[in-house]
Amino acid sequence: MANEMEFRTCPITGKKVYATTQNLMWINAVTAVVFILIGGIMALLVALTRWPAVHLLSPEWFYKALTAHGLNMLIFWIIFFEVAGLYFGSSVVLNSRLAAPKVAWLAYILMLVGSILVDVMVFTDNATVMFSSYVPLQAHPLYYLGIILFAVGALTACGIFFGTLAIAKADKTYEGSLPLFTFGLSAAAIIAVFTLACGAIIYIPTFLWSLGVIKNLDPAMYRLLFWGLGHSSQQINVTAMVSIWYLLGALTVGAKPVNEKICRTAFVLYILFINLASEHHLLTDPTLSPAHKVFNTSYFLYLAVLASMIHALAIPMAVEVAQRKKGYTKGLFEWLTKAPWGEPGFPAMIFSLLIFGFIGGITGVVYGTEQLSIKSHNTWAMTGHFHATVVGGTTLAFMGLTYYVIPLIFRREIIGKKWASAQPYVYAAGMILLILGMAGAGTLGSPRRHWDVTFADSIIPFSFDPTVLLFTTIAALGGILAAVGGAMYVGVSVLSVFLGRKLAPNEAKLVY
Amino acid sequence: MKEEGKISRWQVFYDDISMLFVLGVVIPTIFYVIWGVMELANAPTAVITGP
Amino acid sequence: MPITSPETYWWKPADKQEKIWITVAIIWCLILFTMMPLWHFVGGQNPSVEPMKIRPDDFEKVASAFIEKYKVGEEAGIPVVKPPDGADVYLKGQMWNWVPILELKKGVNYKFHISSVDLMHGFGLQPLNMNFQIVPGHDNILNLTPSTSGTFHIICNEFCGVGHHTMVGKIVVKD
Ligand code: HEM
Ligand SMILES: [Cu+2]
Ligand SMILES: [Cu+2]
Repeated sequence: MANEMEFRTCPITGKKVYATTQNLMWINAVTAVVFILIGGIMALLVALTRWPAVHLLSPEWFYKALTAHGLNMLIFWIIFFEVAGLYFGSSVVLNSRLAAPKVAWLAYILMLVGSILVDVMVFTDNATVMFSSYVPLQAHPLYYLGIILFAVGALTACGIFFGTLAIAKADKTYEGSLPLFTFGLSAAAIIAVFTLACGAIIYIPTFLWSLGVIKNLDPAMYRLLFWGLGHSSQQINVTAMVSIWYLLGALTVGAKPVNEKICRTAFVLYILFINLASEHHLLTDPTLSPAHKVFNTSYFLYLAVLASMIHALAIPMAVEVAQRKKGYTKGLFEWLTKAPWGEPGFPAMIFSLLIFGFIGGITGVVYGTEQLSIKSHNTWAMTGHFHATVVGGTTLAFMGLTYYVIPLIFRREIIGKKWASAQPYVYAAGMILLILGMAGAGTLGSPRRHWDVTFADSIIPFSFDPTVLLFTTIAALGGILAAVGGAMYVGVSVLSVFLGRKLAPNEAKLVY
Repeated sequence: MKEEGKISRWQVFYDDISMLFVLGVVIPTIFYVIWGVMELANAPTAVITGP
Repeated sequence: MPITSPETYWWKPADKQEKIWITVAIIWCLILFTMMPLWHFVGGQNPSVEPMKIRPDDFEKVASAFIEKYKVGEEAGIPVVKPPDGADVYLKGQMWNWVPILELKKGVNYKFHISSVDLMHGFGLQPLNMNFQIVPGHDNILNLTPSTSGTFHIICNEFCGVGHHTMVGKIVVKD
């Protein structure tokens, strides 16, 4: 293991990059990519099965693959990547050594063991329960143990982040307020603590229940607390993603926040109110009062939605100001047309912003109302909504950032720059089709988590409006395209990290 | 260095990550978790009589 | 740069465009917020507002009694039940059927009790596309008035085991 105090200085940003931080970021990011590969293979299998023309897997395998897809993507890929981001945002951005690197390694090992345990249980038929594992559907105790280990590891990583903030402050490695990016990640880490606390409150009893120690668990109580974990973790993703938008804006066109007060206010609104939104999973449940539903699903008067609206202004504005300063001032939109569309980070940021905001955000606000939830709950439209938020939004932003992390932090030259530049376009196009297909079919009633929307094996015959099949086909084609985009991402990043030319200490490689 | 007192109180509040931490955990705990758990715990149970 | 500390005093007034945008956004948020409770009272089409727990075996009992009392036939091995006007209707989700098949009258209000006797199920009424989460141990109480006649199907849209995709129920509404 590297010496804790060893560091180099980044030729582009002038930041100190400590060797310990660099190694931890490397291992977490590489592990994340392994999981997006597993999750992506499952995605393709699931998408091809839902397409009646192909109907690839058996029902047993379909539900198993769907469980694996949800877990490997939503939990493992995203959170390993976020942990790498937390170490970057604290140690590198603040020029500080990382707090307790040994503990950070322990956190990594806990997360790794947890995720392997979960995957083994899923693939050995011991946990076909979907990532939500609703009680009383029961998985093998080791499945719950795996989730608990993973969560403890992730919580420890948040602790390292806060610890590093404290060290940086004590060592005075920065002056005044935290940089905006780190402030945003602090918001994400705070949201994560509530999230993981809910996880502990619910997974520990569930683990005991699977062992037979506890006899009864109220399924409605499980849902309440599970979504305290399951949805709030999506709010971590949103917050991390927005922080990355600011960062990508800076890396690609040199955008800087126009008004710090406004950007930070939006993050503070996230911290205070965004976690209430877990409620919108429970709108059609039998047990909670309308007052609880309305108060919470509105994020307390929609104040967290306001925050997203603020970012939606602040980020494009920062880009426009930066571009106009460079002299792209012709007409209303020269700043946009002359943007670096050939560099992967810029289109990744813009598509992420548009897919997240226009598709994910609007559907989210609509489906999250007490009455319209009746029209969308558990339908494929819901799956469409969150592929817009966590895939078109978060995952695409993470992908875009990867192309900068590899040269700047891992010091390797990207292999296949053309592929990297094309990747966000392919992935975004595939995702948009997938989402539209899902939303269209779901609006007509097509259910999520369903092996056969033709109902061939039902004793009571039923078939949907044929338009559902049209939309399902659109979704499948989009899914295939997105899987190609995903494979391009995994290919470029794995090749570059392992085989890319090592950059010399002072070599600066940013522009494509 | 900056002189104390000139910095806006809001700026000081935003810089105080531990305060934000406490609020960020307490608010959803009260409004989502505790309120929700209380409603679930207090929901009446149907009494079934007859055969 | 978002990765460098801002200037010492960054609490500065917003400029005009920012103020306009934020004001519009706040107004929009407030409209959204007012609409939710307003629609709850004015729209009259809401998810369950009567929280009630019921033990799964108790639900099994009342549902069986209901079926026995009003049964008028059988289809594919599932009882067909025609409750009297305005009766309490019991619909049971189980792996992998919705029991019973219901025959209802257009324009009559029924008080539905929907629950599960095993796992979580998802009530999805087609082709209207109205969906409710069905939770074992809890009675999802809904006041429903069929406003069109015809045949409706109930699919299951919450994963409930390997036969989940075969779970279909039926409601026939007559004039
Ligand atoms: C190539 C890219 C992807 C494709 C083609 C794809 C496709 C699908 C499909 C077809 C489903 C099944 C819907 C159903 O039957 O209910 C699904 C579910 C899901 N996907 Fe993806 N997906 C992709 C990427 C992702 C990513 C990157 C994430 C998360 C970061 C993600 C998260 C999920 C989740 C959470 C579910 C729900 C699982 C469940 O219902 O339990 N997907 N996806
Ligand atoms: Cu079911
Ligand atoms: Cu089901």
